[in-house]
Amino acid sequence: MSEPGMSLRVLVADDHSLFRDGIVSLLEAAGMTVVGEAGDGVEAVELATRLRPDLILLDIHMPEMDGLEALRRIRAALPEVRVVMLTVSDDDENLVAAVQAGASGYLLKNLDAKGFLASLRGLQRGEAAMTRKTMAQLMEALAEKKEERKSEPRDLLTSREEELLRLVAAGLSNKAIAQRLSISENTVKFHMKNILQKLNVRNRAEAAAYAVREGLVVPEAPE
Amino acid sequence: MSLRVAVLAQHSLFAEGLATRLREYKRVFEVFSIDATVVEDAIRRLLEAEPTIVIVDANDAGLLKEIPVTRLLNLLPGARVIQIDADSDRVQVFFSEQRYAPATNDLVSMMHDIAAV
Repeated sequence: MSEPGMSLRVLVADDHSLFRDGIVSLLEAAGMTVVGEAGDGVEAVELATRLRPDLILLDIHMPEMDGLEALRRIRAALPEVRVVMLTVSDDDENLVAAVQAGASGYLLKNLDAKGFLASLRGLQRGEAAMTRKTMAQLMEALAEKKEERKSEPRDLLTSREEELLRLVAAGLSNKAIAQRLSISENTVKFHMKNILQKLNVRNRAEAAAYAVREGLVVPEAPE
Repeated sequence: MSLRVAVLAQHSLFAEGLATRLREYKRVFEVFSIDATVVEDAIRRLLEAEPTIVIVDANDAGLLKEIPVTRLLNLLPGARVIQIDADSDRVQVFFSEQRYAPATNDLVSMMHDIAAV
């Protein structure tokens, strides 16, 4: 990372160009150098590898590849680069997943500009780019996760994951599930990945079969 | 003469970023960033600024609860309110017009005028 006082080199990845441009202008006005902009997760990984910025601001919900997967790939390829998630999602699961995948911070888009820039500058002092509220939320979520691991697989699923599994057991595709739950397809895929890991199964068919067999869900009749 | 633009935000990185970007258009816009955390202060500053355009973030839920678009239009009758949803890149423009219509004929005439626009 750049030495304190030197201009921070930043890559901004967000699929909403108006928002992205606003962030770029804030960063530039604060004396940081925006070396690149990405509109999806694939582009974010490519640009990160090519440009080797000091810092990447990464949205979670993006097309082609979501921010969490992009984060994992960037951290694997470029462990020295700091990645801060910048998102609307205050979802516990996203927060924990981001931190476990190596994010150096997690900032919400409803933060004010002063707080946002202060958090980024804090990275140069070795601080996490996170508000105290988010930090408290993270600690609580990690404590809950620790309790969950002691339980059986059936107790590991969140209510959202159970809801999704019901729809999978009813034969709905990811796209149909996304529409039904008013979430993005990428979010459905993210939840499915977690479900497969928690149930220790290989694919959605096995997950659905396991769920019905174990009485975890009663399949919902397809429309 | 530059357009007076007020960017009103309670919790919006987007709005503050946009205001910073708009300031680059110095010859076109005179930009006022108004922090709406304390609503009555924000309204006072808004009235002092006399903007032609007010920009708000459609996702700034706290702001829009305290100062909905209708209230902005009532406070600033001649202004345009631009509500931007950065999540979908959609922009809505609101404006209101106040006219005097003491009789039904006046109202009917006004309705014809509006339909003709």
